[in-house]
Amino acid sequence: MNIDAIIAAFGNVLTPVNLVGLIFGVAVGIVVGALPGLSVNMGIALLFPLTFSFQGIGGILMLLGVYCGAIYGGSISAILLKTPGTPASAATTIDGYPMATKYAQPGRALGLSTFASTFGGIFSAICLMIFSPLLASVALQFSKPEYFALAMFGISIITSVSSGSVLKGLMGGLIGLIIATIGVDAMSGKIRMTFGTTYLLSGLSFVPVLIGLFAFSQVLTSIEEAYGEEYVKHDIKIKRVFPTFADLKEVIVTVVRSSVIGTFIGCVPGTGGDIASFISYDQAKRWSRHKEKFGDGAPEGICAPEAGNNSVSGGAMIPMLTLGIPGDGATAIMLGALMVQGMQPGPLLFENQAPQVYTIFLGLLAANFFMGLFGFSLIRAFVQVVNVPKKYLMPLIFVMTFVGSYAYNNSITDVFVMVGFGFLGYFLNKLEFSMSAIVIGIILGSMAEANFRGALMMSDGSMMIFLTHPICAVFLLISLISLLSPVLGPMVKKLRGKKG
Amino acid sequence: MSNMKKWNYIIVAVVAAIGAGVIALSAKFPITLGEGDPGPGFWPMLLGGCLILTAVILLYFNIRHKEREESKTFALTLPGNLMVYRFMGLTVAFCVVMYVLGLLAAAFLFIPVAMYMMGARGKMVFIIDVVFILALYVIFMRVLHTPFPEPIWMR
Repeated sequence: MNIDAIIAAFGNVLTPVNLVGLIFGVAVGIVVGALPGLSVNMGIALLFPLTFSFQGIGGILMLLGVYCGAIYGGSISAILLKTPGTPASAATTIDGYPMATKYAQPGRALGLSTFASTFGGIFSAICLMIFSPLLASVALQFSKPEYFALAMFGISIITSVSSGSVLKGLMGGLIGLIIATIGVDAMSGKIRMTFGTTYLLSGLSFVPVLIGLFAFSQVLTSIEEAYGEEYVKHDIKIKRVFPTFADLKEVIVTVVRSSVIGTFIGCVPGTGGDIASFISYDQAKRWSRHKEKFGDGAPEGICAPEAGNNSVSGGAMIPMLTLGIPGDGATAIMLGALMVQGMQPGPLLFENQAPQVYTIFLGLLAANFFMGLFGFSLIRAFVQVVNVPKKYLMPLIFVMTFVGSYAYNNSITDVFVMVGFGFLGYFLNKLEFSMSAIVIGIILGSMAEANFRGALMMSDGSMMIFLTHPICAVFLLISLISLLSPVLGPMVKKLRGKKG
Repeated sequence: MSNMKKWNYIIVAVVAAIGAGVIALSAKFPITLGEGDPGPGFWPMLLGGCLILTAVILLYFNIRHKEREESKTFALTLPGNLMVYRFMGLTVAFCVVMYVLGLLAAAFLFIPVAMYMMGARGKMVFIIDVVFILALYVIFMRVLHTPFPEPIWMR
């Protein structure tokens, strides 16, 4: 354990500017998460350009705050309005809403969700601290073929579990990879697909594409959904928030189990809080001694999905930091943020920039701590967020997307690119394309190509190198299976049915 | 309502065209496969080929499962969609105004118009507009030194 790096990390996190940024990020994240129509990815994408205003890793700490806060914030509207603020909180509505309305205990429901979210987040942060260095030391053995295979694995997993159509997810990933080839080729110096423009010489900027696809398109979708909606003000009275000892005793085993599930699921690229929350809920119901209470305000039914979805945060950071493979859309954006700050995720990050790595570990821990603190102390203020009408909110978020996309490079062309991708993203969402797949294709594209060509240079042009390196071959095989599984799965079922 | 089957044909055509275009643009680079680095054209050509392959597979699935794809519908011409298209037009106008007058002035004009389009009325619109613009100026320009697009006469 690198004590000097840990001490430096404490110093980084406790720097006033960085601490304020982290706390700000948590608060914004909770608000973003609580508002239906806004998503974790949108919140991170909107605040991402602000990271350029911070020195060093401060901006990353802010994004960690948004990440943790937004996942938790989704439970607020899930419990109070039966409308999850984020997809990861969909399972929380099942028991959270009845407890809040039918049994008139919104404070108890929110308190349980806060406790479970905080526990899950801190649990996964500790797992991140323990397992990342171990995985990084294994990843040091990787060379170019393995890194190419990892990039393909990351893209294939994201597309195979992407919402909507897997084939269209793959198309999106390929389009993202193609976008990453635009500009000057780093190896040969040749100019590719710039159409004679100087803007494209350094490639299509990742930040405006990200803001356009995740944030701007979401604004347009929210405007469509808000059309004709009657504004209803919700009168919410919160009494006790902190869970009783009896409640804690009842849910603690469920919370620990769900935290383990969420951390593990978070490690698998392409899976996210929504999958973790439903699996955690399902397992909680399976193991509960009071199965009959589920669906009718069971405390375990609230705690399981919340612990599950918040523990994804640390789990998703493990492959992102150690291998450079994002675990979900949010960590894909954070991967981009790290790269922009000059930090290349991968095993060498742990060797060359250990203080920054430990800062991220401690930052995640601190973000979850502040999330819990806000949840227990300021929940009465945060719940008012659900009453903010979209007709006031959407135009302001719209302007923020322009601020963000200009701030990256002081380029008005970036703003136009953001708008173009925003328009495109609105229609692509309707056509079952995955925005995460496109963004991950852009992020991993350079890594994939550089390692592909580097591997061929190692083998004097022989493609067999990808099969003769066992780890590479295994990852490529898993990638192929995950891409073919939507086709193979039904075929296998059909064959079994015929045999039976 | 539009159905996915029709739009899948459009997606097949567009994606195949993109793939073919990428292959055509990359073909001008020499391919040195088998000699170490395959060259700057190989990887984009490979991706273009894969894209065309996915288009063909989508075409096959669209024909094979036409009833299922036909049953997937989505709205493109409902009043909510038309509101979005109006907003897109407003966005283009905003971009033009921003290019000439700078972000703050353009946002000051845009916010009340956008809120009005979404049904907001009354002095709250003006109050939010002024407070938001002030907050942008103070927090982003003064505190965080975040650059904003400037008016055309200041560049």
